[in-house]
Amino acid sequence: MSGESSLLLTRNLTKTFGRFTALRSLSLEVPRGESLTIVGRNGAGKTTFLKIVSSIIRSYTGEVLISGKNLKTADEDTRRTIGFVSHESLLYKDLTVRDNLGFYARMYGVADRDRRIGEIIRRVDLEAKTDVLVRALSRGTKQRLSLARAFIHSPSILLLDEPFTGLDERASEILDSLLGEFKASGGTLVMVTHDIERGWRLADRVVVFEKGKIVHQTSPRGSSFDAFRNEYRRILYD
Amino acid sequence: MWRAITTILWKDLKIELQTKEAFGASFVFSLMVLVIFNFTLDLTTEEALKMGAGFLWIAFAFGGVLALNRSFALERDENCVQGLQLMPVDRGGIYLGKCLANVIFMLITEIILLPLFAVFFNVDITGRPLYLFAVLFLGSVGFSSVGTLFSAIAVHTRMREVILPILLLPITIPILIAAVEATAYAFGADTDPSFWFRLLLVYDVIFVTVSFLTFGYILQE
Amino acid sequence: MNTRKDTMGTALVALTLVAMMVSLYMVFLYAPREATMGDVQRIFYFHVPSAWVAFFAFFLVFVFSLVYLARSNKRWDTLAAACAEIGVLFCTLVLITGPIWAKPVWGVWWTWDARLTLTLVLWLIYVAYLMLRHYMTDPERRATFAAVLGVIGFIDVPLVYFSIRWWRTQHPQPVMAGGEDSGLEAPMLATLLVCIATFTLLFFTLLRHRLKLQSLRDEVDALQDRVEQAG
Repeated sequence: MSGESSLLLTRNLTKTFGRFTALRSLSLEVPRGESLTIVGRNGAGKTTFLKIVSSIIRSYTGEVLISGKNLKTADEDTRRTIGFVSHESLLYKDLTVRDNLGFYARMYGVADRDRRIGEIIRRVDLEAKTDVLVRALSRGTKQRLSLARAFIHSPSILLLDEPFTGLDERASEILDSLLGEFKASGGTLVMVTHDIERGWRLADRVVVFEKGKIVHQTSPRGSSFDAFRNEYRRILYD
Repeated sequence: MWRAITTILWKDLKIELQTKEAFGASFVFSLMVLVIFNFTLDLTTEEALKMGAGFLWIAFAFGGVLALNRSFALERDENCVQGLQLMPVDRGGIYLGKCLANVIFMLITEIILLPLFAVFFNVDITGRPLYLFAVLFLGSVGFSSVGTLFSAIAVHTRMREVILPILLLPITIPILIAAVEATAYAFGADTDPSFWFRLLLVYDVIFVTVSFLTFGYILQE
Repeated sequence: MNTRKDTMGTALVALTLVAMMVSLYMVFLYAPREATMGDVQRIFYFHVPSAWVAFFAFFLVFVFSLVYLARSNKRWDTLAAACAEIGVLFCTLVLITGPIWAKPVWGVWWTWDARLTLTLVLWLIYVAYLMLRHYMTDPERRATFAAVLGVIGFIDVPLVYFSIRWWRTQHPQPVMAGGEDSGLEAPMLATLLVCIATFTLLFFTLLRHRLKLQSLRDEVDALQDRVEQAG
């Protein structure tokens, strides 16, 4: 476990919420450029894992290393490389599309801001709504804006929490294409999903979380989806 | 850090320009408080001059609570708080940006309310205008310093915004006393305000610092 | 069930009881009758130590809150919460004994003098602390938020005191004769000190009891979890 070639490394990661232990001494290594899918039932610790890696949760025991640097002491440059796609939109209703993106772009220190904003708005097909308040957007358009928000600072490691849940067809398409681009450019992906079929399709590796630990690990290159699905069902309903 | 402060300030100001919620609510409420004071206490001009500063700051404080509540209520929608938690910036910077925005909103309400107060209560507020502005500024900073922090706390509780005044008002007693006394001096009273201005300054420095340092604990999950 | 013999706890309770009996003797029989105020003045021996304990308790809340923020160990949060509860209790006692003493001596129920007013503000701050705890359900968040409040509340105390004191000199209330600071003869001082010691012992007894109660609650919760998971 070298730590240098891996973009994300967790060692003995443990997180408790009062009496409930969400993660038990979880160690996981994600090499640079890998697409990892995490599946498991509710309460298995998947979302907690993502929240810790993305700095939403800051108190835990164990180590999290991003590109070899400890997340707790990492500087802004390192933390800036992390992107997060949530099923919540994280958008301000009373700001325009452009201003929402402008806010996130500024906070993430995006270079050549205006050009980048224009670029990402075109990419998610929102050019017509650039100066519309988010309050006035339809659900589908909001979803596309939310995706733009997640990608605006060109992260190199992308964390996704049930990203396809509730997306309409157009937004789904755009996310698929954005992820394709992201992977092609060498980005590292960690996705939590209940949609195991899609998760399987997009992944280089799939791990199963259960009660805060990794209980199964497999690669779509080495085995069939059916075999995995049977194993997964066995784990869940055992 | 500086980038975080200015960006948050820009965002909150822009949202406020769009909705005018903070200013609207706090101005109207403050005005109502003054009007109610008039009906409940029938004052002579002399009494009004003596007690006017008190009414003013009570009005400012209650209006201020409304504006402060909104400060984080707007982050609760669509879980924008999570957006803030994700950002690679120093969380203290987020605090300072929000605090600054709240100070500005309070100041705007105060400046507009002052002439109205002078008219309603026949109080001459032009005694020492420079001192008056200093008090307004220092008092608003003090009130917003703890207020912004507590607003973040309140938004995460079961009682939401209702708990903000319960938490905030006892803690801000020193700054309210100091602001009232210093304002009375600014209106032309013949007292020694040096202690009060010192207290305003000390309070502001202490609580901006403490809130800045502890804000990170509030913004995490 | 944990039925380990709690020798320290029993010793503490016994010591406190003894101290209370000694104090009662001293307050009512040993200490001389005060010249101007009469027997009512004896409330002083309950009023002042209560104030001391309340203040001490809130200081402990401050310390434990700081340690919790540094160490994130639940134990410190439990301690802070217990101290806050007991502090509010003694604070209430101060606020009750104050007026009972004030009325016969000074003719008014309440004087906005610096110390009593400070106690009232303290009461408000720590009741707000308890309310915050009550209205939060996530235990970790509750502990963190309460700790921040515990730190801020205590830092505020000197500022509240000085602002009220100076305000009082600017807006003098009718002068009260026989104030709390009037000189104490030796036997009165001795009684006071014994009472302070007793109240402090009482504080620790209550604290220990409260902590035991909390650990019992935690045990019940843990058992409940096990039952739910097994069933």
